[in-house]
Amino acid sequence: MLRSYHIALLFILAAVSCRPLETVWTFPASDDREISIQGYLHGRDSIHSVWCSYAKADGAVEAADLDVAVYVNGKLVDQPTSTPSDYPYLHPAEYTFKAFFSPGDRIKIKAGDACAAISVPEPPDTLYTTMNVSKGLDGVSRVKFESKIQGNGYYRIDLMATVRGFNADGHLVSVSQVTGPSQLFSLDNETTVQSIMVPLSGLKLAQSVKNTAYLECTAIFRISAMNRELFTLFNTWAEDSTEDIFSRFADPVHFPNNVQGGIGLVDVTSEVERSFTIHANIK
Amino acid sequence: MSHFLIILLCLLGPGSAPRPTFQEHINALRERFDVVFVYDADLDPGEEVLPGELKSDSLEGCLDELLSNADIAYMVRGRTVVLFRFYKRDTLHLYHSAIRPAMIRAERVFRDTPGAVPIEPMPQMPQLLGESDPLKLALLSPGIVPAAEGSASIIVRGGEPDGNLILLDGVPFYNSSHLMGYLSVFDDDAISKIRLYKGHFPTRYEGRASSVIDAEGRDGADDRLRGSIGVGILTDKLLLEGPVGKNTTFLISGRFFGLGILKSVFKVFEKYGDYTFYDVYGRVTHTFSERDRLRFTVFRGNDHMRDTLVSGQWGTTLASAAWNHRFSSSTEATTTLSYQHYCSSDDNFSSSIQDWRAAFDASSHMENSHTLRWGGGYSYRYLTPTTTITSHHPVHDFSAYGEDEWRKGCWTAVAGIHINLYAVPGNAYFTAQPRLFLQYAPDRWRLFGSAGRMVQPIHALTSSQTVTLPSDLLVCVSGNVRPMTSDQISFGAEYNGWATVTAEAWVKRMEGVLEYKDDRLGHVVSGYWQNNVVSGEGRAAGLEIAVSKQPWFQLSYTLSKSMRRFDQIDGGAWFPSSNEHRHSIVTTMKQDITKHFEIRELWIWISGGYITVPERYSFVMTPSGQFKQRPVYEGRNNYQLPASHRLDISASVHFNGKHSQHRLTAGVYNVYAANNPTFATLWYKQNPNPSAPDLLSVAVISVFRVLPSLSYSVRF
Repeated sequence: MLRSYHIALLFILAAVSCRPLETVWTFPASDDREISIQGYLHGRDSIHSVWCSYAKADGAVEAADLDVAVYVNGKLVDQPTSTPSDYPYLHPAEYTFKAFFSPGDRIKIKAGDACAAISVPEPPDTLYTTMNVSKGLDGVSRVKFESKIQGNGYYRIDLMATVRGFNADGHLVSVSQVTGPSQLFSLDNETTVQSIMVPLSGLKLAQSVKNTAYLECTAIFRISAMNRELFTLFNTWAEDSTEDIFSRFADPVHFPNNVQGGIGLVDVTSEVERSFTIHANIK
Repeated sequence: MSHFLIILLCLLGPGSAPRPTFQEHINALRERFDVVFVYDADLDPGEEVLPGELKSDSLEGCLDELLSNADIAYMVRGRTVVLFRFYKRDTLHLYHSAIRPAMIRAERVFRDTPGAVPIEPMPQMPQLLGESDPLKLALLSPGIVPAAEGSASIIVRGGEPDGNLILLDGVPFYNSSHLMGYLSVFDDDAISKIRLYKGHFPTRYEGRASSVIDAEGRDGADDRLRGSIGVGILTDKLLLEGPVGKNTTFLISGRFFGLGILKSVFKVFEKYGDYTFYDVYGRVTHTFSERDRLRFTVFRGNDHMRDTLVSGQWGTTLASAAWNHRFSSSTEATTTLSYQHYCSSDDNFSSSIQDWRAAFDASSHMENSHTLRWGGGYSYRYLTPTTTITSHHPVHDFSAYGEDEWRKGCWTAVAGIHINLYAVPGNAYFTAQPRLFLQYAPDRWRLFGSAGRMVQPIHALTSSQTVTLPSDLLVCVSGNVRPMTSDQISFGAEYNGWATVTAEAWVKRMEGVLEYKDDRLGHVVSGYWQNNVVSGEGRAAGLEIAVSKQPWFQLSYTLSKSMRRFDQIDGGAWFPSSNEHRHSIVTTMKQDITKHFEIRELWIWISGGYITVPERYSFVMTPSGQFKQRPVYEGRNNYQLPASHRLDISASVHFNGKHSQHRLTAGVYNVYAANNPTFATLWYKQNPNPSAPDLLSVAVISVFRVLPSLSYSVRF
């Protein structure tokens, strides 16, 4: 009875007191527009893309009419072009170019009056990387990677693996692609060496296949060095909850910007990879 | 709970306490309300006209009860109560015209430390959900605004919410809030007095830049076992106090959010979240002799939250021992040892601080109108702010201070200096904080001015301006983060006539203000918080005017401006602080309908704070290579929210049982349902262009509208 009274009272309180959203300010309509350049370039690739659009008050729209030029160490290497699409509000215009990058190279991308200038970061030194197999309380084998990394900058670790299951006769019974969670971290002058543990998830499914006696796991362990702005952007996306109805109470997130005369973010990563193959008995 | 209450009341039963004498009543009131009495030694009305117990919660109410049948009148001026005999009503008029100015001077002799604004716990005041919170009463003083609607976190004179030194029995709190900042940890039943300093800071205080809030717990009753029980919408409270042997008293109080009505909400919506909090305060005082007194204080408070967005907890454990020794009638010293552990954590972040402290404070009243205060201390703090990586920050804090207070005629002058040495790995910061206060108080007037510096080595890096979250990081000076300093000059005047009118102007300059480089996002950007903060400067100025006729009426107005500048934000341009509220008006009124029934009103009007709003939309690439449209922000704090205002009313009935005093308080928060912005958020309106995204808007959510409350307490 007491609880019913409480609930009824609180329902009344909530109904009379909480007021839905009241708009107090709306962005004014304007024809002003700003060039936006976006691009994640990978040092290991030779074909790259940047995407250009116009940032406007009533929504971003593709910018396929820009003069784009790509410079490496001050030398013009390409002048890509783009073609307009049928859905300009859904996707920015893509400009594809060919270039080779080495650590320390200065890359400049001009699009109209906007310009992004970045340096190719030094890849990290991996002092060692190991892969360990252990059995959990549930009897399922787990694989963890541990890498000791030396550097001074911003990094991301990606772990991708192909897991093959074999029966007792050595016949292949399953193949699955599994990944570890991406991890972002930074090293600075005070802490230049960091040990990172990355668990490989998804092995439970591979081990659940009938007649599986042992697994063969071939994993690629990739460490990408990046500049601070891209590192911030990745974290920003982790924090972004614009599409979450509950995020209305959260303070807005700010996406980083490194484009002069416009907005957006262009960055390039340098990667090192280590690959491993390990066999694990699951019986 | 209600059954427990009834059983406890029955257990109280009839008692046989003897009728207190006039002197015992005076002593009890002096202890209870921390006031000084001035009266002739032969002023005794006789026991036959005195009541058995004083049941009112207010000083004036108790004095009314005490003197209702005696030919004695009283006058309350600040913390001084003057009692005088009168035989005819006409003589009272004579008294007002001839003797009162002399009394006003007498009051100043007894007045508290210069610069202090006493905050008296007032359970009768209308407050959010009827939960009496003495910290929120600080808002009645001009120059102070809440950090958010309904919040117990305050912003003092253009400072930051983390710039307030909040002390309990002399030990600083690192987080003094419950319920995400909407309630402070102070239970007014257990607090005897709170002093707020916002202009002149006594030299013994250091560690925060904006204000000092010094709360002193109450000693337990020394005559018999007493207690109180409170039941409210938000919390249930229990307090017990009494003597243990001849020279020892104890007091223990606890508050629990888990039995109250609001807890039922969380049970109903359990799958979406849960919230619990509690705090327990204990104090044991032992008097060895007239010269020596020992006090132990323990406090434990904890909040635990779980919802769809975040789960976490935070809490404080505190223990202190203070030994007061009186060397002579004019010289005394207090030695304090304390330990405090504060920790907070959520799914991703945690913050912990352990603080070991030893302090010595001495004062000596000289015959030549000088009062010397001096002391020193050592504190060892160990902070471990944790984001993706835990960092460890040991801080050794050495401090010493000296102060001379000189009073001569109408003049009062205080000069002192506090020096600190903060030793951290790789660096050491030496700071000197000079303080000066000057006052000239002829008759009804008082002119005063002060200048001083405060230094702040601790910062709270918050992820939300509106509420306190477990992800807030407590950080301190480090090898490359210097202490924050705040220099303030203020001057003002006060006139004591029919009412008290005070005007004060102040200007403040801050160095070493910390801010996230990437606004509220910085705490997730890197494992090392130092890489994500920038240090800048701030400036603020204001004018405060207050008119009061205590305890019936008070009106205060504040005009202030607060700006910030950081080299790495907005190209080094000045921008308004998010805590700036240009105008604020606060009025309170009290009406005694009958002897046992009073009504209080509180009306507040505050200019809106500043938030950052976007300029346009842009495509932003996700880590997986897709594109989404997101708002683009340029400039910091580029939009001012609408003003907030509200009227709160409470009605309080107090009545007496045979050995108990009861109080029933009903109130309504925000009576006329003003749409005050509790939260500001982004919202999307439909775009006339159907192929374009919705239009971005700023919307406010008003949570606290027409919130009724009911609370009941009984003292026995």
